[in-house]
Amino acid sequence: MLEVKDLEVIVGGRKILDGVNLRIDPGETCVLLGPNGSGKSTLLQAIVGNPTYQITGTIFFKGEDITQMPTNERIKRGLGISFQHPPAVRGVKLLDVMEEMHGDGEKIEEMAERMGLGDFLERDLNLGFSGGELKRSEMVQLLTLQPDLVLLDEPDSGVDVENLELIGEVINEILKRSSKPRFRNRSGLIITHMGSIMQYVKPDKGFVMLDGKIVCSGKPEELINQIKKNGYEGCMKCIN
Amino acid sequence: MKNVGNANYVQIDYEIQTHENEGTTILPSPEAYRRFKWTKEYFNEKPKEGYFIWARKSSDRPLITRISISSKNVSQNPANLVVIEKDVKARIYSICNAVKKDLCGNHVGSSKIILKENSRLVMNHFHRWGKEDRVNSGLEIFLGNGSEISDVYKCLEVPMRLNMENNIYLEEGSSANLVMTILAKHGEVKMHDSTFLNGRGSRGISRIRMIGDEKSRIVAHSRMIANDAGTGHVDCMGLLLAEDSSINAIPELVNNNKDASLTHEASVGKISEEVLNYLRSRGLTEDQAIDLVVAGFLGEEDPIVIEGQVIPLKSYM
Repeated sequence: MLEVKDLEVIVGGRKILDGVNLRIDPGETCVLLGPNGSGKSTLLQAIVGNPTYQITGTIFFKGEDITQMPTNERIKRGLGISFQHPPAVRGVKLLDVMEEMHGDGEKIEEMAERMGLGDFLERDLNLGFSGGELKRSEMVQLLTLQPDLVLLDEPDSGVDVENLELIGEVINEILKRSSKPRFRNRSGLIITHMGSIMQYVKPDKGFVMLDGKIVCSGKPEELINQIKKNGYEGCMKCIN
Repeated sequence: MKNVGNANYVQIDYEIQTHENEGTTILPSPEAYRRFKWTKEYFNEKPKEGYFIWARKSSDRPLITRISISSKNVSQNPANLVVIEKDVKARIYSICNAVKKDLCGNHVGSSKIILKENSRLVMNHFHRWGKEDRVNSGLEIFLGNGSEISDVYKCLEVPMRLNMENNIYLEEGSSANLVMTILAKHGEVKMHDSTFLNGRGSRGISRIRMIGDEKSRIVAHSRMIANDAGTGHVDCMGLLLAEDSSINAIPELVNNNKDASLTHEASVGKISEEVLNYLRSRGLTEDQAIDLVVAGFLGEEDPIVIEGQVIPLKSYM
């Protein structure tokens, strides 16, 4: 589904990613762990094609080189992302954006109601939304897009237990996690800081990112337990 | 002259038609000046053209005025007077435009709106001009005790030069909500509005939305002056779409009363890269993302509805 090769990313003159290699197979859901500032969000933004980034290396999506492709073309091909801190867009309503994504009017309402956002469709996008509302708004947009590869930037940060459960349910639905592994065709890459989302979404593989490099991979539960026990300093010692 | 969409006052170049609504007198201003002596205290001088609206009874049916330039080198000088009597509720759509882009017209309009005690007026102005036109517009609104006005001005096609001056005077317990939206492309716009909170409990809001596109210059000076214990807010937002455009936003608060509360916010800049990137991540192209933000910034078109029938604004243009 996704293959990232020797990816280097420079943002504002500073090298943030330094030779990242990553592979996610069809139907596979992965978590990306790492301390603040290690480059996790930059990796997701690079995959989706942030035009302000200077990039070397290659990104393949469904076998196609998308490294130089504009963001909207990547989305058309089946990429989808939820932001950790989505910006407020004054004057543009949540409904406007969902309609632009070619969402069916009735379905939009149905999905918004389900996510407790029925009254938010006519509100300015992300303006004055609480942490939980922001995450639910991101999820309802992903439900509209129905991407083949979902990139989720800390879907569990700043949300309470009820919201987290609902977000987990939606992620599982988008990724078709209730299907048997061989029937799953959608993939996910989830950034999580403390692994809270893993109570609801059970990933297949985990990666650890430190200083702009993926330094470790393994079983997600084992990785998170090690990190909880020894911190990311433990990871540093382990790889050295 | 064809009357489009049942407008109550239609002036095309210098030719005029009027149609009254029940409970409302609608006349050309010179005729009102002759017939009603009391109007002399409101007209600064004997008017040559323009409309007079005197609403004595509330009505669900909106009033529509249209003043158009349709020939070359026309110079209009309408003096308009709107009087809303005590406890009366009214709605007015006021359209001023040039029907073609190259008419080199000159439109110098002055309007006065008088709201008597506890009356209410919703007023929508739609302006559309040609590239060679010159427009000067002056508006004064006097709000009696407990009266309310929502005054929405929208001009998405500006003339070569547009000068506007609005002065709003509020008495006790009255409120004014002023929203001005301008999209300037190949034109120079100067807007000055002053809201005077002259009565206790008066409330004024002035919101200015400006978009500066190619070869445009906008100056917007918005003042809120508290002479009594009222509350006021000034909000100036500008969006620059082109390198050769400029916006000068000047919000000003003048507080002459310690019990009054005045606030303001202002911002001028281009569309944030973060917002564009976010919208692109929803599958929109750069142009679609810009169009969406600009449309959102300009706000929704308020349709003209007469007896349940929606009449497209363009049918008046």
